[in-house]
Amino acid sequence: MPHPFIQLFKTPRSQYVYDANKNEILPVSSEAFCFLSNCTRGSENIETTSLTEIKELRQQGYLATESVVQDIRHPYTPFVGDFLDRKISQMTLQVTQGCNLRCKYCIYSEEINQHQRSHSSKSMDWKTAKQAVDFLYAHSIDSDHVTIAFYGGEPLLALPLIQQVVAYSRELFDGKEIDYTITSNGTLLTDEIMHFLVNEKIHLVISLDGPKEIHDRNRVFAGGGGTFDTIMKNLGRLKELDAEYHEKIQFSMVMDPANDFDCINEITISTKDFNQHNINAAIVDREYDEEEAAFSEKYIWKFRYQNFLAFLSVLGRFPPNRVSAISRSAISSLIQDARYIDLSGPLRQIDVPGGPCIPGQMRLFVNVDGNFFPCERVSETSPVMSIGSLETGFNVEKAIYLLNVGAITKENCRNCWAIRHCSSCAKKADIGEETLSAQFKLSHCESIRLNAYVKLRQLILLNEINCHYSDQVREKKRMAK
Amino acid sequence: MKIEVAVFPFHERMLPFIRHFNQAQDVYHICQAIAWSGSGLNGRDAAFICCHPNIGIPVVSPTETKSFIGWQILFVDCDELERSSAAFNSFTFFEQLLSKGKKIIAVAKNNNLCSNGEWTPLCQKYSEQIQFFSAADDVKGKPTSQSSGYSLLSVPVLLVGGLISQEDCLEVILALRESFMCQGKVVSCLTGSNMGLLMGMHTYTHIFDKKATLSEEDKALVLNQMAQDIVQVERPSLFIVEAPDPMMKYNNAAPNGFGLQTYLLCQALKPNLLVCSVPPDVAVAEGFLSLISKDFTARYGVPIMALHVNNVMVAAFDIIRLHKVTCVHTNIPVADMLRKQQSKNCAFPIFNVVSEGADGLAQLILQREALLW
Repeated sequence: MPHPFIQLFKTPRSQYVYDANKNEILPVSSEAFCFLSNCTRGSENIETTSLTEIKELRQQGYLATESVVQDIRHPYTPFVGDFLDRKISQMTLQVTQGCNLRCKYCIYSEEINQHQRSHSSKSMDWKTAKQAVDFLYAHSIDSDHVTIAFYGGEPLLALPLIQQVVAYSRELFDGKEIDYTITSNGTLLTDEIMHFLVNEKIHLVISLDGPKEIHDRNRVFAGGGGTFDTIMKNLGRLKELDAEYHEKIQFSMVMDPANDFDCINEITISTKDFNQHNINAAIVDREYDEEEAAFSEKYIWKFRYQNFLAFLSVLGRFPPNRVSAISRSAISSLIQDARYIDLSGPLRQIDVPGGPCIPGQMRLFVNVDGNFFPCERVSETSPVMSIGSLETGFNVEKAIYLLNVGAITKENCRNCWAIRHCSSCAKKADIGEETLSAQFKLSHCESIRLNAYVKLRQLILLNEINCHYSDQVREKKRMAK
Repeated sequence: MKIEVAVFPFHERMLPFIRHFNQAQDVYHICQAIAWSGSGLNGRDAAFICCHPNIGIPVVSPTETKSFIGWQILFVDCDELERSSAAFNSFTFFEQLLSKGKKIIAVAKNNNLCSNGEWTPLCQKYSEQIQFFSAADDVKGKPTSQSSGYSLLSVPVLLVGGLISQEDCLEVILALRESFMCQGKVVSCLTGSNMGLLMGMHTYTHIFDKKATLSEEDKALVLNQMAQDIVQVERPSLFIVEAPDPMMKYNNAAPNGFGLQTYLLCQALKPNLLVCSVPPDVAVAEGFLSLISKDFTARYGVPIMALHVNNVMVAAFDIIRLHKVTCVHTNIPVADMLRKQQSKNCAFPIFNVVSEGADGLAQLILQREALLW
C-alpha cells in the first residue's frame, strides 16, 4: 500500500503533518492525523480515502506517495572549481601538531583514536605558511573578507610563526578585510602573548569544559595535573590588561555526556570570570574512535530540563539569568532557524541533502605539511578526505565527490522525509579508506532523523505560542506591571 | 598619439569603464590599472576580476612603482578611495606622482573635495595638475520654482537592472552605447558610476548618497528633473538608465535592498523597456522569469524585454551566515554553456554582451523602440 511521503507531529494542543516534498508543516484535524498515522503503518490507503480534508490536500499537491527527487546532485557541482579558485573565505593553518596538554578525549590520542593522526612535535615551517597565505591570496578574489585561523595542537607553541604570518598577511591583503582567530587551550598566555593578541585584534577561542571538577577530569597537562586554575589565572590577567578584549573571548566547551549536566553547566551560571554568552558547547567527538559518546541519565534529563527553562525564559516566564547559557544559546539558534525554515523551498527532481558545504571553500584546513582538508574536524590520515595540497593545488574532482556524498546513498536520501534537514556530511561516511562508506553513513541516519524531528517539533511549539499560549504570556506581563 | 592614463583604485565596477573607454574617445588611452594589494589582482589582467576574457590592461598594486608603465595621468575614483580600509597612504602616493609632473583627474559624487579634507593641501600646491569631475556639478537638477516640475521624458527610457546583483549592468549599458553610437544614434546614459562622467555619461550617485539630505520624494523629483535637463541638452533618441540596486529581494535571510532605490528611480523616469541581468542558473524554465516579469510590471511599471546572462553564481552558504548576497564569478564558457542549454526553455531573448557584443541586443531594442512610437 502506498505510503505518503510525510512525517507526523503531535503537540498537546494540535496535530501536524510535515510534507517532505513541499517542505511545509500543515495543521490537520485529529481525524486526518489518525488516518495519516494509519497510512504510514500501511493499514489505510491514502489513494482511496473519502476523507474530504485529505482529498483536498492531495488535490493541492500535498501528501504525495513518492518523493519528487529523482537524482542526488548538488546544484553547485559544475561550479566547485570556480568557488575553490576564487571564493576561499577562511584558511585554518595547523601551525603545530605539538601540544602541552594530553586531554583524555583528544582525537589525536594514541590510546583511543583509530582513524586520526597521533600527537607529534611537527610544526609548520615559514616556507609552508607563506605558501599557504599566498594560496589564500590567489584564491579569494571574490571574497570581500578573509579569515586566517591558527590551529594545533596548541598553536601558541608556534607563536613566532603566527607573528610572521600576521605581519606578512596584513601587508599582502591591504585593501581587503582580513581578520584572525586562534583556538587555544589557554594555558600559555603570557603578558607578551596577550599584548600581541590584543594589538593585532586576534579573536581568541579558549577550550574550557566546565567548572574545575569537570574540566580537570579530562583536560590535563602532558606532565599531569589539571589546567583549570592556570586558565582562570590567565583570564584574570587578560581582563586586567584589556577588559574589552576579555569580554569578547569565545569558549569552546566539550561536553562529556557521562557527566551530570548541572555540574557541567554550573560554570555558565555562576562565573564572573568571563562572558557566559560566549560559550559554544558540543558533545565530545568520538567518531574516529569508533565509539559513541555514553549519555548518563543525569545528563539527559537535566539537559532537557534546562532546555525547558530556556523555552520559558524566551516566553518571559522564567528569569534568563537562571537558565543555562548553553540551553539559551541552543534556543536562540532554534528561533533563528525558525525564521528561515522555508528558505530552501520544496524538493526538486535533482536535489541534495542539507548537510554538505563545498569542501575547502569556507574553512580550508592546511596541515603542517601543506596538505588540504575540508575542515579541521576530519581525519588527516584519511585518503578520501585529502582534497589537494599547496604543491598540487585543489583536487576538484575529490571536492565534488565529497560534496555529493548523498549520491552514495541515493535511494535512502531521496526517500528520507528529513532530506531538507539533514546534517550529514562526508565526515559521516569516512572510514579511513580511499572511498566513502555508504554503510557507515547510513549508521548515522537514525540519530540525524531524530534530531530533525526534535527540531521541527520545537519549531511547531514556538509557532503555537501565539495561538494557544498567548493568554499565559500576556497574563504574566500584566501581573508584572 | 593618445595620452597614456592609469586608473586607481581599480575595482570590479570599474572594469566595464576601462573596457570601453579607449574606444569611446580619441584623447586618452588607459594602459594600466592600479588596485589595492589585497585585491589579489597584482600581475593579472584587469578582466580577471570578473573572470572575463582578457582585455590587455595589466593590474599592479600602488607599491609596485617600478611596474608602472609610462602613463602621465591618473584617473582616481574618490568614492572608492573613501570606502576603502586600506592602510596604504594614497595621498602620499598622489603627492609623489604630482611632484614628478604627473596629473590627476578625480571623479566624485560631491564637489567640495578641494575645500576640505585630505585633497586640500594637494589642490593648493598642485592646482594646475589636479582636475575634478563631480556628479553634483554635472547637471543641475534641483527642483526650483522655475523648474518644469515632474513630467515624463519625451524619449524612450531603457532600464538595465540586475535581478540579484548589479553584475554586468554597467557593461550592458556601455556596450549598447557603443553599438548605438556606431549606428549614428545619440544615447544618453545615467548610471551609478562616477567614472562615466569622463565619458560624457551622467551619474546619480550624489542623489542616492546615504549622507544626502533629500527626502525620498525629492530624490524622485531631482532624478526626473535631471533626466529632463539631460534630454533637453543632448537630444538623445534613447535614454538608458542603470538600476541603482538589485531589482528584487533575494529571500528573508538576505533582503538585498528590496529593490527600493530601483522603485524610486522608476517613479522618476517611468522606463519603457527593461533588460535584466541574471545569473546563468536563473535563465531556466519559462515559468519563473515570466512571473518575475509580471511582478516587475506591477512594481516598476515595465516587463522584462530581454535578458543578459552574466557569469555570477550566488554563494548560498553566505546567505544564512552573513545575511547578505555574495557571489562568485564563473568561467564564461561554463556560463555560456548553461545559457545555451536553457535558452530554448526561456520566454525571453537571451544575450551575453561580454562574449558576443551588444549588436544583437541593440537591434532588438530598436525594433521595440519603433513600436513605442
